[in-house]
Amino acid sequence: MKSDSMMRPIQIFVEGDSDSQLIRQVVCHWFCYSLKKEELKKTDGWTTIQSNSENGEVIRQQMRFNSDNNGVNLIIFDADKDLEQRKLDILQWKSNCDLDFELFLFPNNQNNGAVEDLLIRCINPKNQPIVDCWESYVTCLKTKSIEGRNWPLTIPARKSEVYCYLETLLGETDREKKLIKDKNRNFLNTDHWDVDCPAIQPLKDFLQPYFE
Amino acid sequence: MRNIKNIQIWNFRGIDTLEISDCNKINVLIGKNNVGKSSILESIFLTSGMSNSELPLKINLLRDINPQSLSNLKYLFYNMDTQLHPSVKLVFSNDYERGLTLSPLTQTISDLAVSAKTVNSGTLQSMIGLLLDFYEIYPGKVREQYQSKLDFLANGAIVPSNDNQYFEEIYATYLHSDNSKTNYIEAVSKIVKEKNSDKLIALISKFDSDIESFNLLPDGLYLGKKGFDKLMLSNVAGDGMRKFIAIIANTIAYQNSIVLIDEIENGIHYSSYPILWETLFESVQKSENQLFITTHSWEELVALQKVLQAREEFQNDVAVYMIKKTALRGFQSYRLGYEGLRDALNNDNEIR
Repeated sequence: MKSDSMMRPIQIFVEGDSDSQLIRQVVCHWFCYSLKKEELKKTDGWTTIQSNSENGEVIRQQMRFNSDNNGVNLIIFDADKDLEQRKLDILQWKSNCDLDFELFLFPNNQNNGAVEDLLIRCINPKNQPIVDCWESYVTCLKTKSIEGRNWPLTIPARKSEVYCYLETLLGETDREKKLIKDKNRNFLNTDHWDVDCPAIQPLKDFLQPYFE
Repeated sequence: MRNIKNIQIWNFRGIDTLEISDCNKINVLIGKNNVGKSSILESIFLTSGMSNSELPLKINLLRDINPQSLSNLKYLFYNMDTQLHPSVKLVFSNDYERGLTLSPLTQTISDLAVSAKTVNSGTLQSMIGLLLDFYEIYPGKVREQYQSKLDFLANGAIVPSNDNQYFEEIYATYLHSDNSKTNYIEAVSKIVKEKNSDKLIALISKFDSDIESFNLLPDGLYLGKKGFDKLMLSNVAGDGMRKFIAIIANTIAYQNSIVLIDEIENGIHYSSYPILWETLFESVQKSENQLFITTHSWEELVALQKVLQAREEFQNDVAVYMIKKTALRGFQSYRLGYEGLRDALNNDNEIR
C-alpha cells in the first residue's frame, strides 16, 4: 500500500462513469489506495476531445498543472475499432500539445475494443451461461431480416450486453435497478465480477508502478 | 480599445514570478486560498496607476496594513525582502506596453557608529521610502522612462512625489472582497451627472425588483423602495445589494476602464449570480471595459457557465485562469475558455 505522502501526484483521465467506477474500485482493491476526486477525471472520451475546437483544453491544462507539480498523468481510454490508429492520434495530440502522460487503451492495450469488452471477460465464470445466451442472441440476430429495414440488423453494443448481464443478476426493485447504471456498479461484488482474472492483468500491470 | 493581453509579475507580495497570457474582456481568476489571486488584482491596479506613488499605501491599507509605517512597505516585496524588487509588466492588445518596478528609496548614512559590523563599504543604506520606476512603450515608439517616489520624512510626514512628465490614460477601479470597503458613491455620482440614472436603476431592479429609484444626496446614496414612504440610505441595505450596486455602478460608469473585483461572490446570494454575470457581460460589450474577477465559488462558476451557454454572444469574451503554485515551476496560470469551463463543470472536475 502506498501512502499519500510517498506518491507522486497522480491524475487518471478516463472516458465516463463506467470506467471511472472500475478504475476507482480496482485501484482500491489491488493497491489499497482510495483515489480522490481530483485524481480521477472524466473526460467524455477521445471523440469529444477531438470534436471541441479548444481540443481538450481543460484536460491539457490539468495535465500541465500536474506535470508542473512533478505529477504523473495517465490516460485510460477505449481503443475502439482501431487500436493502432487511436494510439497514433492520441500520441500525435500529446506531441502537438507538448503534454506528458502514459496511455492505456481498453480492453488490454493490445486489441481493438472498449471497457465493456474487458468487463465481459471479467465476469464470475459461474455466470458464463448468461453471456453465452447473449452470444446466441447476437448470432441469431445476424440471420434475421425484417421487411422495410436494412440487412443485417444493428447488433446491440457491448454496453447493452453488460447492462443485460447485470440486469439478469440483479433483482427488479428500484434500488437494484439503480445498481446496473454505470456510476453505481460494484465491480468488487465477487458474485458478479472477478477483478483478479487474467484478462484484467494488463491494466493492473499498467497501473502498478504508480501505486508502489 | 486596448485591453490587457499579457501580465507578468515578479517579486510582488507572495508571488515570485507569474505570467498570465491571452487575457479576455472578462477574466476570472480561480485558485486555492493564499495562491495570490488578490495580489494579481493589486499588481494590475498598481500598474494601471503606476505614476501614483500613493497607490502602494492604498493597497496596503485595503489589507489593513498601516500605511503610516515605513517598515510596512516591505509587505509589497516578495518574502518581505527589499532586495527583491516587485515588478509588473502589462502588454496590451495593440502592443502598447507598460511596466512598473518598486524599489526602496534609500539614503546613505555614516556607518561610524556601526563600523565594526560593516565590511569595506564604509557606508550603510537606510530605507526612507519607495521608488516607483515605470515606463511605457507605444507601438513603434521608443521606451519612455519615468520615476515617482514616496518619501517618509523623519518627522513622520509622508511626501508623495509623482512624475509630472507622465499623464495617466488608464482608469482602474479595485473592488475589495470586504464589502464595507467597496466604494460606489463616486461611480454613482458620475452616472447621475451623465444622465444614466435610468440605466443603473434598470440594472439594480433586476437584483431587487422592489427598488424603483435612487437619489444621490450629500450624505450618501438613498434607495426608493416600493411600499416605503421614505428613502432608505443604501448603507442600510444588505451586503449583497451594496456589493451589487458597487460592481454594476463601477462597471457602467466608466468607458475603457479596468475593473478589478475581488471575491465577487461575497455577500451575494447564489440565485443572483446569473443576473450579475449577464449584467457584466452586457456592460463590457457596451462600455469596452475589461474585468478581472476572483472567486472561490463553485456556484459562481456554474452560474457563469449557464449564462455563457444561454448567451452564445458572450462565449468569446471570457477567460478563466486556474492559479496554482506548483512544485517544479512555481506559480503558474492555466487558462480555460468557455469550452474548457463547460467541460470541467460537466465532468465535475475540481478546477478551483
